[in-house]
Amino acid sequence: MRDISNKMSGLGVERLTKYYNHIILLNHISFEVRDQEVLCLLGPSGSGKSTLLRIIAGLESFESGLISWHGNNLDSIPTEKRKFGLMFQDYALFPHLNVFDNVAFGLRMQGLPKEKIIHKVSQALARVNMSDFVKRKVQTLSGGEQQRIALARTLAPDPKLIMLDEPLGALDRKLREQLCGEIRQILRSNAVPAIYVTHDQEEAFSIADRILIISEGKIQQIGTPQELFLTPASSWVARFLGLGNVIQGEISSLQPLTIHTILGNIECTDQAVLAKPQKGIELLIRPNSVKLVSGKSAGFNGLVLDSVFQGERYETTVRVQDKLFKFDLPTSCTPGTSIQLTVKQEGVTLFTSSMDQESIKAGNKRNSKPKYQK
Amino acid sequence: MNRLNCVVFVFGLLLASGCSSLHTPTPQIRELRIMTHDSFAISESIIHMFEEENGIKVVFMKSGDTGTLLNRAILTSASPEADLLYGIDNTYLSRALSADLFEPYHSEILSSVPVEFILDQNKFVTPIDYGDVCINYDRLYFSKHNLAVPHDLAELIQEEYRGLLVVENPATSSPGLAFLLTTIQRFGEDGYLDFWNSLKTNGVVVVNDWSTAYYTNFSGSSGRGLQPMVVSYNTSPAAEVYFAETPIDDPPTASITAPSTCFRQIEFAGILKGTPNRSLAALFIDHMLGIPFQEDIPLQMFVFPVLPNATLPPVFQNTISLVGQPAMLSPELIAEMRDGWIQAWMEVMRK
Amino acid sequence: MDGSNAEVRTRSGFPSTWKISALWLVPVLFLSVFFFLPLAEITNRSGILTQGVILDHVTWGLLTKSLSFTITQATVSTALTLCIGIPGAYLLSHFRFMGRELLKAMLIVPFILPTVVVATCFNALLGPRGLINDWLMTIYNLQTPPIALLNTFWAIILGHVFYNTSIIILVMSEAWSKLNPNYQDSARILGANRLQTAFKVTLPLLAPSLLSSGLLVFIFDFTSFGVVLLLGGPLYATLEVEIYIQAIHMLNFPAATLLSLIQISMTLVMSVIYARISRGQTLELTPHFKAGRSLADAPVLQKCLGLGILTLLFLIFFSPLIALVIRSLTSYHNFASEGGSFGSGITLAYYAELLVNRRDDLFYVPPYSAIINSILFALITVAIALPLGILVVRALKMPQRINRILEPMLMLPLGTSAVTLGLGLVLTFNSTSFYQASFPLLLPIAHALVGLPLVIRVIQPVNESIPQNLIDSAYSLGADWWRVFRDVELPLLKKSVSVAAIFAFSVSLGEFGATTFLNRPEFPTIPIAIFRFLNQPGQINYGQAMAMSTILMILSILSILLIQITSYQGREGK
Repeated sequence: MRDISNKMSGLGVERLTKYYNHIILLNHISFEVRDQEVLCLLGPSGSGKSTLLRIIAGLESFESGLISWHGNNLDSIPTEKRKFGLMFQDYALFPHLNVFDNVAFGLRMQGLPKEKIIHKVSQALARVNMSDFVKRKVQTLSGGEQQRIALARTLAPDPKLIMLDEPLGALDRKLREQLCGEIRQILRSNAVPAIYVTHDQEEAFSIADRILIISEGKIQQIGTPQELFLTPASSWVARFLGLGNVIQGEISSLQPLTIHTILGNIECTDQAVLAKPQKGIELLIRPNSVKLVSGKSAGFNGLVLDSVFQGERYETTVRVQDKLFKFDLPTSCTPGTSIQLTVKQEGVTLFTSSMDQESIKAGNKRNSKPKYQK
Repeated sequence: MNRLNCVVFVFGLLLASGCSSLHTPTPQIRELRIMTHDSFAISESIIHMFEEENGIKVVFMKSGDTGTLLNRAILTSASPEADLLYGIDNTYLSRALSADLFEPYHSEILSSVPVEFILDQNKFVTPIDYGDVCINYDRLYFSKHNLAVPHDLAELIQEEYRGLLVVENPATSSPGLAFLLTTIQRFGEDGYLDFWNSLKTNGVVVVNDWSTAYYTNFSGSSGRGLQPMVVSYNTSPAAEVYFAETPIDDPPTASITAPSTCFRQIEFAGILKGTPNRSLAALFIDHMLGIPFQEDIPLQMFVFPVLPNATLPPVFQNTISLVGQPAMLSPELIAEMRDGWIQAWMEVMRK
Repeated sequence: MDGSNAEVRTRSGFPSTWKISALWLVPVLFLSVFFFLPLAEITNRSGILTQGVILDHVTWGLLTKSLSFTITQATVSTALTLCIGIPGAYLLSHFRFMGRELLKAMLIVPFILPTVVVATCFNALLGPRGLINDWLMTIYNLQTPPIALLNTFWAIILGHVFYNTSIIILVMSEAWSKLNPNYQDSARILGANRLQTAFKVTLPLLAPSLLSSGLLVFIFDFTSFGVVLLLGGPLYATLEVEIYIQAIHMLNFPAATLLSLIQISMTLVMSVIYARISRGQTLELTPHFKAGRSLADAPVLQKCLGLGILTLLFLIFFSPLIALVIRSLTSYHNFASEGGSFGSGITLAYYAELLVNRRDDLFYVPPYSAIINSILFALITVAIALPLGILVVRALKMPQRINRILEPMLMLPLGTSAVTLGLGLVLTFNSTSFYQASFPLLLPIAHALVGLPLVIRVIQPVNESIPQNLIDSAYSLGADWWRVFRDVELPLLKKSVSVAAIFAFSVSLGEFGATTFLNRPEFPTIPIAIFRFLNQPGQINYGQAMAMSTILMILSILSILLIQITSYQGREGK
């Protein structure tokens, strides 16, 4: 990870509010993109990520707030004068132009001399390994090829800020993984700030310097991938990032702080949660934060439903009462057998139930494919 | 996608029903087919009378104006579409005769028709009705402005009638052609172009068709236009009374019928060559010259019957001023010269 | 587009040459029997082949003069039509607002109204004693009407704009609403300003439909008859008007045929050029099924623009129509004898009179039977033109050489004078038993000949834009070609098919030229009835013509709305 903490702020977004058809789409959004930083906008689909990009690009109006570049208000600067780059999810390659003319479009708009355009186009195509495609019609390109050409078109005019809207969204998984790495390389080597929109946390974690999680028009958390991973700001974020099992609990004793859950009473060291008044408490139990125990000491019983070999560990699905949990266990368990587990203190994060239930549900529904970070 | 099947089905059904309902099978009854122009009109009872007397069915085929009708007849003369053609007038007569469209028929009733209507001495065609193309004027306008109604075409080039006359293009309109022919008769082949030149200087308005002239430019009828004089028929005032929205006795318009200001159009019927129904067609011509048919003509087509003893309806008697000395030119001369005359006229007016 | 898709498109199991022949078979037969045969027949009978044409200075002058005028006015008309049509298409494809569907339905009305009626509308509005002149004369206390538009060059242009703008608007708004907005946004981001974006991206992307509709409009303007005759007056004559004058009034068949053949050849040249330009121009559009944003909520600039366009459309299209309705309800008293002046009042007398056969007229047309006849003929026209059009459009999507020859041929009926077409059909079938048995069918057939090019031009750009991968994936799922057509292509084409149906329907409702040749007094259509009224003097006759025209107008609005509603319901059901 590069050190980004001391970089100057390039793009500033302050208290941005946007309505669409009288429904609030972006609600007092504030953040900044520092020079040379790759910021990922991560959030479920429909959370306003694309709209945010369009507003920054100047394609969309907004009700209140401020967008600035190096401290200068961008309000009166039309899209074409902002010199930002934006790559759409569907690439939007001009179908009436061939590959060369697509990539050269922005350069021509800058009024560059012909030789310079040719030079820069070939440079841009080389960066995306598409040098042989200069004369091709864009309709004859595959999805991955189109994605690279779109990236070349975005990069060619040397934008001050690069915005990529779900650049891998339309591609199949294998291609995504391959291109994800390439994009990371290109963005890093490019040394201009970038905003990368995605709904896939894996992509975000592997590309971003910082990640901004947005949902329901609000920023849920902003921080480096490590920060998000280690200290999710809310149970919603923990669920959305798929950090582990989130369960409800009640304080049963304060000294020592003990939470009563369906996994039994869990003792916690984290006292911060007590600073705020709370109705209930939620706990993040990471998959690796349990250990197998025997005897009648502490812990809880669970029914093994499935056990999948994952290299150094077994991803085990366990049913406790009527809830399903995923735990990483060092040994294989036979499905159908009952096991006894206990929660490790250090693997538990506490949240106050500050978010309303609605949005938790919404977040869960949208993030239908939870993935577990190791 | 049931909707699509439905749509296809409905269209199919419509097509089928369309075919069957439009197809009128009449194999039993003999048909007399009559080709005529769009302006032809007659009372139902008059035709039924003939159908019942002869046990046949009369079928009319209408196609456009007189020119279109003649064209169609000439082009289909090898295998005629009809047995009888009605509606050729004296401006087209010579052309029709030279195309050898008709079979001669000498109706007995012709003896009661004034000789001036019998233009074809070989009796290939029979005169049925006639109309006079005259200048109509807005009576209210003339009385309001204390303007004298002109009695000679030559007066039209005077200053007080500047911009007051609308005429039809002789290349596109049959009353337009009739009026051009009137001026040729009045001023001669040497003088008519000078007259038109002066008329043009005096602000004559030319439009392409009768409807525009009468309903848009003429001030006397529904159009409330700017010109109080229009080239129309001398029966138009009668129509204005007959078709008035609220009953009136006195027409708002009148026609100028002084000598050599009107052109007489005579309409003829002829039996088409090659018809298998020659005798029936002949019977129909006699029927057209019969009193009931002749007396029905005025209110249906607003022209005059050729038979002098046919009684005119009251509205004709009260409102129409009859033309004493209409302009007439021989059909042969018209046929020979019309293209040249129109062309020369065009050159003057487009200059 | 190129050879790479040819292999894919034959997955239906037949070799592509078989398939394309099968697709072309019926349309080619139809065109040969009902268009080329009559054309050959009339050329033969006219005597042009035996006698030839004497190309003296008169005929030559006539030819060059009318040809140059025809081209001039068609160019100016098309340019102006585009200037109004493109903003109109923008409005309809980008915004939702109250009465949008009604606006679309009413835009087609001019297309349906016979020129005699349109001329009357214009006169009621802009004529020497029209509403506007009356109004200006009162306000500024003038003695003479300030606007003298009728019988001028600009009256012709205005008439053409009035008639043809709907083609541009409907064809282009359909394509525009399916144009991915990201194309324009990408251009903006890459540094193009609004103007550059419009000319370098939007315009080229809309080129297929622009060309398609522009060509149609140009051909309509090129072969214009009624507008030039009635609004332009005697000083102006297009080829079509000259054909009419030569054939009908001068009885000069060889010259008329020569002019007619020249007009058809010019149409052929235009169609070939069009086919050339448009080849490879197609663009795969993403079906964006969004109705656009609400005009009321749009930013101020767009709102002003939208309202401006609406006002313009209203002025051009609706004011003459409203003038017509007002005229059909107004009674003008004019009693010369009473020395009174004009009075006016509201009346339903003209409508009531339509129901009365006052004179026992054999040819009296009750309005309902004229309506039924008109609708029946129009439906049969749609039933003929639509399937033929879809066959042709499918064939045109296959990359085969034969398309380049056949495609331009389909446009020819549009460029053929109604006199030539009508007389040709009569001459060809006059001696056949078909003529006796099913004569009334010749009328919808003639209408379908004119409607077919419209149907093709409307559906083709959309059909070409259906992404090939959609069709491929359907084939790969094991569907046969009929299922692919029915379940994949047709639903995507639905809207353009309904627009095409509207045009075919409208062509038939309003056609007058060929109708006069092929119609029989037993089956009068509404335009025929209107024409009959307008040809007789008298207030009642004039009023009845206005009333009948208003009925035609309302009828067309209702039928178009019905077609639109059914096609929308179908889409929502998907």
